[in-house]
Amino acid sequence: MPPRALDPAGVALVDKPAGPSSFAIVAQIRHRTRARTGHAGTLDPFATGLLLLLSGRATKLAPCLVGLDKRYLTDIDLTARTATGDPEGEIVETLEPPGEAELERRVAGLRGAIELPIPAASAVKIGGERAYRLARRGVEVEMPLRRSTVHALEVIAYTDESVTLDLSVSSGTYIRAIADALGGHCRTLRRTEVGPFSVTDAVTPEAFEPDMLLTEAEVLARVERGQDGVAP
Amino acid sequence: MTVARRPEELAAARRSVAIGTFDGVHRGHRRVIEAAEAAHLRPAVVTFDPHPRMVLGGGVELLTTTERRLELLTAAGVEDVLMLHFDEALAGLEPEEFAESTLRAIGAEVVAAGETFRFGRGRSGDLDLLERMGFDVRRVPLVENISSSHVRHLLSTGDVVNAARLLGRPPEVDGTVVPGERRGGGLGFPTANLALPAGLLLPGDGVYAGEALGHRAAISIGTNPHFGGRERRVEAHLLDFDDDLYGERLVVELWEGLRPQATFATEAELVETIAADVARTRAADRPN
Repeated sequence: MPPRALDPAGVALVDKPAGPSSFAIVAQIRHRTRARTGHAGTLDPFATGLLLLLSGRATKLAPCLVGLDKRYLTDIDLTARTATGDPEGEIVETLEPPGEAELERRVAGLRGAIELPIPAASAVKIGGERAYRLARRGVEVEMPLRRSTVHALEVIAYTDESVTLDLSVSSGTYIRAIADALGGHCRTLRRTEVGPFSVTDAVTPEAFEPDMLLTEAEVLARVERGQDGVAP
Repeated sequence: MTVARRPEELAAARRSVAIGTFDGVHRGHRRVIEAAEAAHLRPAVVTFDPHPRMVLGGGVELLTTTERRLELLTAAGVEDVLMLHFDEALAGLEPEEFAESTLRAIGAEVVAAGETFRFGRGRSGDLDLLERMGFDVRRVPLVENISSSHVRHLLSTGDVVNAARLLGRPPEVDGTVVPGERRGGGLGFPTANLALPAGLLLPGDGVYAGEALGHRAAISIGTNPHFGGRERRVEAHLLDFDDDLYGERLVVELWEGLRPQATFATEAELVETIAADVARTRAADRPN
């Protein structure tokens, strides 16, 4: 395969729909730009929201972007836990949803520094194979623990059987693991922010045009401002 | 953004709907919108114009014009809005009829709202009713006392910093620049005089630091007692700016209260005080 083009260079903010893998979105954008393309942090196929796609020379920015804090919205179904922590896994346990007070107690225990098992259906590789492939083949794997930080965790809405959470977390936090620890599974998962970037500035993959790429300089400036705590 | 006035003007889709009046589009409103967005259906906001309390009586001083409300909804990422004309006919619909003819008509499956949301004749419909009608209802609890009426109260007392905390951004005055007394120019501090649309809340009297058109601004709200004025006015002195703004719309952010309005013994004292206001405006920080 010939080396891919280094132009156009820049970062695209794309709002991923539910269904396709992050890689499918990369391929879709690369098809438009014909440039080398990568992303700065994957989203599971069932998840939606902000993907940072790096085009051309900007692919080398990946190390500066993959460690950024993330913000998510999720609907957690409190009636069942699944093997994968998402709606695609088999139900492993049905549950009586907790009352409001009990839910708030469990939520409070998930703020700050946490250590949770990496959920089975994740994009992390174990023994060279994606964990979700192993899980979907029914292979039992001992999932390693991951340490991460939940900067903010708010209950924004509730029903009798589910709760909607707004979470700001360190890079590498699995929201599906948080859903599992809470006693449920993610029915939906939407990434609303990556560092200083917001999904409100993102476009659908279909609406993407190469002239929407943010320049490398602009991206780095925004990331630095965000780290100084100057930007909101 | 698509703003539909009738349900059939919105594209057919399975939708999650955030419903409410959303005056001010404060942090609590944004939670309702997020609760709808979390559902992975096509989100929409259903809202009302004019503000229901203008029609139902009781009266209300608004935080935002309809235009500004739509701008802020756009900034919050909202793409589809159904803005229902609120009149006695709409207010008089049976709650079930309202839900069928608006929510069901635009394909709503999920409905997110503040948990005290009421609708329909005599405000007799509530979220329990929507649930019984088969909607998947997401109740958004009121937190930290964030409500439009609390923001209005804070602003009327001039507490822009706490109002900003509830809004999640600085409060604003939104008006059109009109000719004034042309006094400020003579003092060395030309001001843009704002005419506010009827019904909009005017924050408490005083001098504020803020921003307009990307320039720092010292803003005076009140009657200009030094000159014996009676009518309450909004005047903004934009720093490092000398263009003519007559007839333009100007949205002025209020960042910080500097001092109450005052009368001065001499014009020199007034000028000195304004110069100090300008210096503090340069040093002011944007809240949030």
